[in-house]
Amino acid sequence: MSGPTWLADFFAGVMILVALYSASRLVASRRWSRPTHADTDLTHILMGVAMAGMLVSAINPIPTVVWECVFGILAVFFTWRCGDFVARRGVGGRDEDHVHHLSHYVTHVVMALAMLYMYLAATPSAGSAVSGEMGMGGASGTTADFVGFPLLFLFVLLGSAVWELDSAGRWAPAWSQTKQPEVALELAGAGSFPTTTSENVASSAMHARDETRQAIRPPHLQSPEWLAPGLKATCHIAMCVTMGYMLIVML
Amino acid sequence: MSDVSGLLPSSMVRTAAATPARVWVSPEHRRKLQLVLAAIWLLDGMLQLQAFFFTRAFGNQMIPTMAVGNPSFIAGPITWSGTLIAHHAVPADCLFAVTQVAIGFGIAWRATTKVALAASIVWAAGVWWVGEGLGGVLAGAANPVNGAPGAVMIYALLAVLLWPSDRASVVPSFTAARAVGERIAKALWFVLWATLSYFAVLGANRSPGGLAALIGSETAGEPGWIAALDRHAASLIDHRGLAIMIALAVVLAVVAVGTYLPAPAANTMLVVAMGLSVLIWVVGENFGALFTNGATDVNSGPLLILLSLAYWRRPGDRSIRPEVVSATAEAI
Repeated sequence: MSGPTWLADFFAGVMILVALYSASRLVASRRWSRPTHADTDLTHILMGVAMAGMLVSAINPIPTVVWECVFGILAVFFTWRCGDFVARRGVGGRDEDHVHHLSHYVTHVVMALAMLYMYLAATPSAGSAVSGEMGMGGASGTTADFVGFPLLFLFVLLGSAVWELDSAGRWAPAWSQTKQPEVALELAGAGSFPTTTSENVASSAMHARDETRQAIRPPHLQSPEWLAPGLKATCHIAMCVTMGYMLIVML
Repeated sequence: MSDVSGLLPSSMVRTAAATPARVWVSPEHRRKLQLVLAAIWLLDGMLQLQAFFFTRAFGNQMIPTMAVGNPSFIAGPITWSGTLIAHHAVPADCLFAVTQVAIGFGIAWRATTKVALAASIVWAAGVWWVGEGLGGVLAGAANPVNGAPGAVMIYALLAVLLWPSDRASVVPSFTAARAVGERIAKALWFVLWATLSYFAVLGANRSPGGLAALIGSETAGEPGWIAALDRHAASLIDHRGLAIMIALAVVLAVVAVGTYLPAPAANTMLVVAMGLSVLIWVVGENFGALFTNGATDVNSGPLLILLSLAYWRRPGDRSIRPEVVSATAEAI
């Protein structure tokens, strides 16, 4: 790893935590009959373990070629899911499920491809060929001229992290949102204002208020309870940031 | 969400039909721009984690070059900061990285957007001085082709223009005017782009071989295809520097004035500005030198594009009408 060892250790520790937590989510959701994003949790487990192994080669449990197969399969899986979803429901759609599904699939396609790139581009460390351990350095050999890919991955990952954080704020408890007019503004701007006269504005604003209160209600008050969506979002952000760091090191 | 049937028990999986869909509130235009700005800040923070910045060379070699050509009262603090950073390379770089990552996440988190934007202005001012030597403005080295007057100043400008508040009794025609009003927003645009136009024909920038030499000197550390692009560009414009820089200055001046034109013409000028920004980012800035392991930010190209998007005229967009904002906010 080209970079401070302690920083690699830190990120590896974070990734192990993410993997452990994601595994515990699968167990907890079964035990408590709570819905979860099973594909995401499984992917987070695999990516967490793999990234920890890339950051600290001593804890890499699986040969590189196996990881390449795993992330190749994941890339194909999420691409298929994405295509299937678009074929069934189209690209457009304003409900939360639709937007979240689509961004979720696209982001995970990119994450899987980024993992593949890192395995293909990373410089093998001495004596690592048999054990599958690898050291990370700058892209080299045939991958050296394809540095545009990690940059693209980087933009998508950091964008996803920021988007996830913004979305998390969007679903915060209502009392923390009441002083932020933008949520209501967005609803208002979505077509509920036929004119701009003050009466119509006030009337439509009242209507928007009800919609907004529903929209900003925390998920656990709206539907069968998702299993700790905030923690899941935190894991996703941590994963995006860690992967971003690894890609930057390889630029 | 994921109906990975057959892989897991159905109780662990929620399908779309199992629960009522919630209303998805897409971020409005200004919020989207804020999120892009947040992502760029986050990227800057991550770039600061590159190995080079944890070494003494960051303080001993990179920072002192920013003092060259500057007046002593500007150069002194830069040199002093460089020495301090070199002596405490790891904690200093951690501070820089954490600060920028915190600004990025702070902007993205709605509850802290204002605090983070305010912090970004302060931070940008400090970096403009110590990290960019005021963009070479006082050193006579500012050139719009390689990022003058300093990318970090555009961060600060964006923080002001994307500030999450609205002026009462004003109906702005573009997002950047929501917080400061159209007159000030247009003036800021004019000053920025007119300054870039002035820098284009300043001193050595207008010498016949100046531009080619500048672009040709940027190949070090770049991947082969970018270095080849630089070499070809330098070869193409060799000895034509004066004509090209005059043409560039004219275009930049037209873009500066463009903000005062009617909406369709103003938007056309914004397209020109964005095209120019892409060209500068690719050829003049080499994608912010992100591939050299020594970049601290994305340079000015993407920020100028983001700025242009904030000035995009949206006369039919009711979401930027302040009376709607205030009425809706009161109703809530």
